[in-house]
Amino acid sequence: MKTVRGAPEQLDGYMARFAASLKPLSQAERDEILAETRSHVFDRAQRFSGNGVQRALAELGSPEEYAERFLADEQIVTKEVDTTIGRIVRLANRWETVPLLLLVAAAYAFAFMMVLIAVWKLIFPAHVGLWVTYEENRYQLDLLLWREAGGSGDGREVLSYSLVVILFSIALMIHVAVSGSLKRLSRHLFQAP
Amino acid sequence: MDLSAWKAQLLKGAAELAVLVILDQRETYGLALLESIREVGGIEMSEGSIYPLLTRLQKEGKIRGRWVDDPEAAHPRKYYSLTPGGRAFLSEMLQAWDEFEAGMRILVSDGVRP
Repeated sequence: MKTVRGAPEQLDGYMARFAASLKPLSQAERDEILAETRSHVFDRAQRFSGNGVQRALAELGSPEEYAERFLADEQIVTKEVDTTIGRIVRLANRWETVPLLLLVAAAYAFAFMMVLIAVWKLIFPAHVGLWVTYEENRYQLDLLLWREAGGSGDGREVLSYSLVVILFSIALMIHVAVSGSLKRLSRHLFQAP
Repeated sequence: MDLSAWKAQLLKGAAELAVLVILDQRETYGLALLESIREVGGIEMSEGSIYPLLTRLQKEGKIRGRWVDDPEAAHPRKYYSLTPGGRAFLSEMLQAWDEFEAGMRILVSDGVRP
């Protein structure tokens, strides 16, 4: 069996830079690409005399350029992950972001609830709303999701249809805040050094 | 655009077809695939382009890869083969290629000549 000629430090140095440039990919994908690249370099180096590893690496191009080819094709497959859903999926591949993603899920669940209440108000305007009542010497504010006609005694509705606008605005602000945070976090985690 | 750039564009479109055609014939690994494309097809494809293409084809489900402890090598090699979906896609590609080749042949022989 032929031996491979060439400094292992060259290969290790190349692979380290290559791995760093593949950072946007998942760990499993990176490991697969790195393993195959090593296998290729060993095979190709045997075809050369002299420093086979160096020549094999030169054929691939710089590690950053070579990694870019994988990332470019990744974008073709995933149709550009520059969306909130895409970033969530990519972040979920890293275990350290799981608590943050749970927070994101909770925020979106709250926003969804706001939208649902707003739609409920539009469908049943007389039964849904924000009511203020004066009982036992204090004012009480209640968000009622179903108020019987004539119910809530001396209470009166506040905000009326403005409640719909406020609830939709809250949901929208949550989405903007979360998606902006995810974009910044993705950029921080997946930007190649 | 100069001739080498145009040829590069031509290869870019044909590379996927070349890979699938070879894998339809036999299971093989990346470097052997590249050498077949060069030696049999006379197509100069670079080392830097075959593996990203194979990675993408695998993600698209057209080919599958498996690591083999190859007795001829001192290291494992990743062998590729076509999936049923890849075989079906290849069939459509070959049909499209025949139509394209026929059209270009007519254009070149009957129409535009330098």
